[in-house]
Amino acid sequence: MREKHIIILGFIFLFCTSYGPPNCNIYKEDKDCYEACKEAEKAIMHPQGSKASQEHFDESIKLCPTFDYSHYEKAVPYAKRGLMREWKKMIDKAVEIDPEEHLSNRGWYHFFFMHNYEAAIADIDRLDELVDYNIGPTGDGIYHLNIMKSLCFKGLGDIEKATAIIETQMKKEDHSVGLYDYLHLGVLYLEQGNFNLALENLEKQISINDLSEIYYYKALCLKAKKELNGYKDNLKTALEYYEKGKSMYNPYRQMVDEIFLVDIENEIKLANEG
Amino acid sequence: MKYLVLTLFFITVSCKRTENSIDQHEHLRHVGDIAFDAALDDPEFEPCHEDLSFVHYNFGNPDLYEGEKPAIINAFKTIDFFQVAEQNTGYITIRFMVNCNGETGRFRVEQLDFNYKAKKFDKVIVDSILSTTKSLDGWIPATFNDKAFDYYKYLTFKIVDNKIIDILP
Repeated sequence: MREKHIIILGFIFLFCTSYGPPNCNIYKEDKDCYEACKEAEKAIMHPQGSKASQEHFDESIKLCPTFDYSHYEKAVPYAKRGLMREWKKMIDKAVEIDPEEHLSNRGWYHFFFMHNYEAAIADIDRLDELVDYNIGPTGDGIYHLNIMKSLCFKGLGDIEKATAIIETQMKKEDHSVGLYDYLHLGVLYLEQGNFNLALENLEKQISINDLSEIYYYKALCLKAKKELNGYKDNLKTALEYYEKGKSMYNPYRQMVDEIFLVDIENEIKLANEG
Repeated sequence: MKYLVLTLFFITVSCKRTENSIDQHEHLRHVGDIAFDAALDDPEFEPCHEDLSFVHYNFGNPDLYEGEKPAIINAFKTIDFFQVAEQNTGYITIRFMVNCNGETGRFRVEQLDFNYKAKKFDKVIVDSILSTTKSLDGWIPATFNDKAFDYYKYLTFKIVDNKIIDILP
């Protein structure tokens, strides 16, 4: 199952974080920018972050300094390898050229790689003010940007605001339910002591993406409600799922509300002591 | 006046160089590769394949640590910086290599503020985080088709007023 996750996520990342350059024909009237686009096409034929790839992006930028795609793509491998000073300089250039296109990406990197929640919220808010259409999902396609914004407020400790944002987003008619939306909402209710609503949302998560985390958090709800048989049964399921690799997973690392083996084992220990 | 003009000229040139240094530098084999530096690195640490290394996220178990991420976090729970008078805030990132035997080396430190601009943290904080990172001994060699490979890993510490509030990624 974990292998399946890896393959799925691999495709998501391949297509979403290393998305192709725009159709170069739209630059036909501008020889340099057309050539820059062609250089970017060459860049993505090489492994992301490799010398050859980065050199093609350099050449692309040299030919057409306003070709934002190359600034953005050149930045990505720096973020993935912990070099955020370099990433920031390059992504800022992409945002400066085309904020509508790159604010969401910059926000996502602030959120995911650095837990820089204030900066992520600022980017999403700026994008929201800039456009009059649905601001859409994160670059990896996992969240709607408003769900990500909710998780930023959770990171800042404002659980009520986080809950309000996610509730509002999920009530929208055009909202496409994301891979973890119900899980996050369920955990937010759990954290506020609203165990019935938490359980309701965790149940809804099962049909979207059936994960160890669902049963772990369900167990915590049932423990609070003193339903001890259900508490233990769900921990058992959480452990089984975890051992099969059916849990939250992101190769670039930890996700919000992700649990680890030790979390389940410690809770099982507590359940057995009680 | 002449000296003022000259000084301004040199400041402008040096600023321009600093600004361009990120974009214009000679690219490494791969972004983030860490070459051996005799002034910094332990010569005892040897990569298994000098010309072939991966990154933690290339493998199915990207924590690649015994006990997963909670075990890494636990190692830093006992350190504190009460003795540091000035309040330090920002990010410290330690990049390093794990070789095919699970040994670590080639540690590099980046210090940034929340705008990702270079800054200097108090030396006590940097040294403590670096030495604790060096002491982590649960790294799992990354394998593919039963062969073990070297890989790069990094840890970023989000610090607010001398407290580690997050360990990323």
